[in-house]
Amino acid sequence: MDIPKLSRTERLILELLSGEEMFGLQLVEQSKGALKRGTVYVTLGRMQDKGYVESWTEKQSAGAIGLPRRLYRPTAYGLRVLAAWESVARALTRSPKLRHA
Amino acid sequence: MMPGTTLHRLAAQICSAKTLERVVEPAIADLQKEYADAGLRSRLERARILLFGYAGVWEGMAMTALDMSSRADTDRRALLRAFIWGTAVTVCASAMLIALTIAAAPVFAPFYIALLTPMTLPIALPIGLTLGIACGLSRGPVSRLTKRAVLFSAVLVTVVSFSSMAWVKPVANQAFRQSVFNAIGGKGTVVKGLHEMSILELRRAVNMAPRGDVDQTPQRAIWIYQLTFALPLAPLVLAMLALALVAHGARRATVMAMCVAYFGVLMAAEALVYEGLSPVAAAWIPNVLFAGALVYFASSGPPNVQSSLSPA
Repeated sequence: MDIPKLSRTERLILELLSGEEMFGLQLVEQSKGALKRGTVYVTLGRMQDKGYVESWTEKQSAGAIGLPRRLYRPTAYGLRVLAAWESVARALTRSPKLRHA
Repeated sequence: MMPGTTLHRLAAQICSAKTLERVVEPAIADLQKEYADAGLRSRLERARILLFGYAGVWEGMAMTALDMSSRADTDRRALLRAFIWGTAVTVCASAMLIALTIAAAPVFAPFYIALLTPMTLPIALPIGLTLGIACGLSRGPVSRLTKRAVLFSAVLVTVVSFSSMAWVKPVANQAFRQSVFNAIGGKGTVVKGLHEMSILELRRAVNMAPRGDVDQTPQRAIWIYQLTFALPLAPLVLAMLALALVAHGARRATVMAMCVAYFGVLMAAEALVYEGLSPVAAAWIPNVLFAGALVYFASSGPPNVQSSLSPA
């Protein structure tokens, strides 16, 4: 069975979101330069299409001005894909050592 | 007004509902929150937030357009062809206009090319965009995604063209004139011509012009002032008409002829200003005529022509 594809950026986003739900800009700040604000929303949208993350708009208080912000969190499927990729990555980093041993 | 309100309205016109909801609105909402939180910080900090925020929204919109096009190889190839042709024609047209100006100047320095480039953009960009569409998209049916990408490019080119015409060109032109004057041994400051005036200076020149004056200078001031707004719309009008013609099955040569005709009408209109035609009417005649042609093709063409004109 094929493991669903997960780019480096998507993996980073899932890792950041696995701790808590965040806004797009928060993800950019937390990534310490790895994510750009111009591309993060496009990537998040694509990840929504793939079913890795889900989003909803925050509830605004009465009298609030401006557009409501969008919050993101990983889906159970997204976390499973991340876990699968992490185990593959772990296996790949271990294998040379095993060969040497 | 909250930052991003106008951009949100513009995006609602040119983006799909999905792009608006997933890319544009979250980006603008984060920008607005960041800007509101920076209320007490320095002006520089707030300007930085606006700059990066707006750049982020535009980048997201451009990324979405490219991402959508990448879904279909045919679309991507057509867009790439249009982009390469458009860029090549823009560079050639710009180089030709620069060469003509430099040939007439008594001296030459390499940095004159940079100073003269802004002057050429309002003419070179619409030519490049239209011929790019003609050469890149005339080989087969044009998809909705490609049309959206072209329309987005046309809006972007219009913004660049207006910025160049209104703010960059006057400064660059004046720097070029001053530099040539100094190079041939002149001393002092060269008096600004009408093409070297900013929008505000032109507006002042227009307001000070006596009504019904037989001298042509006030008429020229009005003509150049109106042209600052009318000419940057050429990429949008020409791109939409080119798309309509391509969707109508027109050949490349027809689209190219349409582009040449636009500038022919513009030159004729300028000549008519000296014969007494109102410079306001003259400046807007090409856009009105070609927008009329656009409406004609939209209403009389096959269904795919009408769909080519709907923004999203």
